[in-house]
Amino acid sequence: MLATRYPMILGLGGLAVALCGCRRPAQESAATSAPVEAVVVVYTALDRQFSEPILNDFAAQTGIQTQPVYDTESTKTVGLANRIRAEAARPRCDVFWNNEILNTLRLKAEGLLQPCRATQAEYFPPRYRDPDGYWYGFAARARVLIVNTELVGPDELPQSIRDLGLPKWRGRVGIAKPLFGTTASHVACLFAGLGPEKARELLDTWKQNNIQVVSGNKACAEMVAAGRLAFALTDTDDAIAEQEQARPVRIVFPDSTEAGLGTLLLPNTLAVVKGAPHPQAAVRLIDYLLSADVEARLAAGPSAQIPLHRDAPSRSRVCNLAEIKPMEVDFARAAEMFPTAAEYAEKQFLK
Amino acid sequence: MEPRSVHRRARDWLAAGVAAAHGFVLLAVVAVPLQAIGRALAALLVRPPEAPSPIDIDPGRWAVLLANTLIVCGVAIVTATLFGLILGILIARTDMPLRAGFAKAAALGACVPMYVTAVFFFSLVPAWRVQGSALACGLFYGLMCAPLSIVVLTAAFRAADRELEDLARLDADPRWVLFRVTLAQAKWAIAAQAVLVFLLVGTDFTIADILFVRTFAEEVYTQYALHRSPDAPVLVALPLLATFVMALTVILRRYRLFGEHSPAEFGRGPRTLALGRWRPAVTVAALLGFVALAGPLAVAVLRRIDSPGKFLATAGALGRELAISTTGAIAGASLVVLFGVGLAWSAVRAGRRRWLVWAAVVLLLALPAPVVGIGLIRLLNQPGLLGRLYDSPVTMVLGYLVRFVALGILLLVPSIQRVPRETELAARMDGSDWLAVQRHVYWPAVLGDAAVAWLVVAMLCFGEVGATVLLAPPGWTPASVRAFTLIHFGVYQDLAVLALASLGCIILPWLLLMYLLRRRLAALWSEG
Repeated sequence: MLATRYPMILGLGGLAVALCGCRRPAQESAATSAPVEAVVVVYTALDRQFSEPILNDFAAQTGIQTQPVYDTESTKTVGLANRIRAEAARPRCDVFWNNEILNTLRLKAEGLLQPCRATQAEYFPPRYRDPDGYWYGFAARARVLIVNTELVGPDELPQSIRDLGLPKWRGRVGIAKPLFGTTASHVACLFAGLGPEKARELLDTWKQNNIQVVSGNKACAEMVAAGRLAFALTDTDDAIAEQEQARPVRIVFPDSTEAGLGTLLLPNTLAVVKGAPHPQAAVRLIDYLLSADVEARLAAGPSAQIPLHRDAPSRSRVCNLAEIKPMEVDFARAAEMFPTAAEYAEKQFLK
Repeated sequence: MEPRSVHRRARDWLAAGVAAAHGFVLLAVVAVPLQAIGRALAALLVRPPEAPSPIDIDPGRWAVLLANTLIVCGVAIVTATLFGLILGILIARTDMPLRAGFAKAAALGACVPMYVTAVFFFSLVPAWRVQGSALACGLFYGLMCAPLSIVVLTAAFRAADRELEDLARLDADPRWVLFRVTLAQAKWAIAAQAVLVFLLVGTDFTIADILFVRTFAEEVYTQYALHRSPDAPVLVALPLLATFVMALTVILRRYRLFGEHSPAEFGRGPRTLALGRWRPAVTVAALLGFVALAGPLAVAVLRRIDSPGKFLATAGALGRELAISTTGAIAGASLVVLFGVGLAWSAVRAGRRRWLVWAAVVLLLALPAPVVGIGLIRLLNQPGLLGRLYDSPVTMVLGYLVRFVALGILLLVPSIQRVPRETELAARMDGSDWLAVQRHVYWPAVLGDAAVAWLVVAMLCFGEVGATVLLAPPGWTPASVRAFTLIHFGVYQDLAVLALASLGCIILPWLLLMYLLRRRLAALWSEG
């Protein structure tokens, strides 16, 4: 008798389990039954180990549960931006926490963001916020050269990103995959800052110098620290991690001389997605993230971000904002150049 | 109308409904990739002259992708096959001591999710050391697939014809018999194992992505992240898909798997070959090989963990991801097996319709994982009910169904074949409809095998990354996706803990699997 009921038992069992699968686990069960604005969906490109504790604290302080989608290192930022585009007809993301700026500007240009009024906005330099409130920048990182001090003598220290194309370092310099993340943004900024022709020439010298293209900025920093590369272009958070582990590395802020191009500073950016399901909670999260406390935490934390908030401690462990010469770049123009730059980088470096 | 007639009619409707549900599931599952492929081809072929091509066909790049895919898959196949042949013969055909332990260890290794194995490997050899190396990538994949090859080839060697070997041994020495009879009989199993490794490696992008080795599957994932249109990645996947479909078709046709024939009896193999004076040396070598591989890997992972207290604290923090993975795996495996039995029946005994199931199985097995994700996103990311489904974790479970229903069918086909057709005919003559035949004839007969299939599929769902990384909705990150995110930064404490905790989650179903297979496994080393 029992045997004849096996399919029914298994079917009901499977269905029950599937229904269990639909139940939100304990942490977020309250969020589901709570009012809509008690939840905020955030797509964050900042590395999970840095962003998750902050989002958890926001949830603890405000009672608004965060539902994050984190990015993967190999498709950083671009993957999330394209996800927002794919969901444009039916958005489910409230806040886009980008760890750079260009893809935020591109989403704005495509009409996929909506303005919001963040109360903390006035504490940030105008350069790092949108006048109409479409996006807010905070907690910057610099694009730096991480140099292995055992392979590169003090008198040989690279001073410019152009040094990645010097024949003496042929095959011993590296960059991350230039299609995603801050490396893609850097290439686009070069297209905007130098002009497409000169930027292409620069990339060509890198290519001819057999520059090593690796999966991410972290891998770049690790390869330099291990002596596999003499130096590489990376982000300050990845570089400082190696330096603080007492590896034989040194951080160089490239092109910081008088006549130099300047070091590229890329702020994190926050934006509310157009048609966000939880717009009020989104603004609360943005206000929280723009606070001096969060900037201070990001500066003091392992990622050692460079604070931009007027009241935040001005010095990060990496550098003081006043000490470096920032690259003068029109981010809006760089955002426009992004597809052209990405296409060229793809053809040059991804064959 | 008489109550009996009403009851009969209700049963007829129910039977028709359940049968239709099976057909619907098969069509829906196949529709996921087909609609994505159809849209991509339409975008390529049916477009205004001024519209740009959705894909940039650069011969140089395609050559690199092809070369890398072939190197990675080739090295993986050679590595896994070597391990499979040597240990398969030792376990299945010799009197080597500890064969039971080796067989169980291989079964455990085959069940461990790829990301867990990757964490162990990358603890020992940091990923950046082998960045861009297709050879290293293939070697990693080969070592990961080696346990599966050992299991498959052990079974194949046990299924060899005992009488034929006994006859051959009357005229020839054991080595000649081994090479000319045993291996010759197992050649199609070796080929099938190679195709299995080819499929697993060729459709996966995780290790290739971490090592930045540009294979077709990695390119599908990269193109999806890079471009707004999902057409480009699907078009990139088509050559790979066509290759896999051809390879699978050859193997499945050779085996006539979907026809009416008696499957090989697992565990009723030929006599054990005596190792003689080499027995201690071979045993020590096998043990040393195992310890030399597993020992440093385990030590390397454990060194990443500061203290037992921190392990527990980190494991607690990762509990949510593990719970999501476990629940999703249970739901996915239940769906696969629930429909898998009926579909396996269709594959064996549904007349001409079985070729539809055959075609669906080949297509689904050959799909690169990201195409499953892209297909589901294109299907579900719409306003209305489908959109609500897309926002829920059910999407991940549907992804598991699409990814593994073909495997579930393949695992259940031999069980269906073992049920005598006469039993079904007798039930039919007694007036049983399709549903009643399934309930009273097939399900009771295949229940044990269904449980085995359920466990295998559940463990595969638990470790799935390729489709899940695209499908996981906000706030529902499973352990596999978390590990994939973390592994790019190197193996630190949280990733090491996640890998060990995932391994812990696999141990229980593995023990259950060993319990269910105890008689068949015992037959491996008790005979001869």
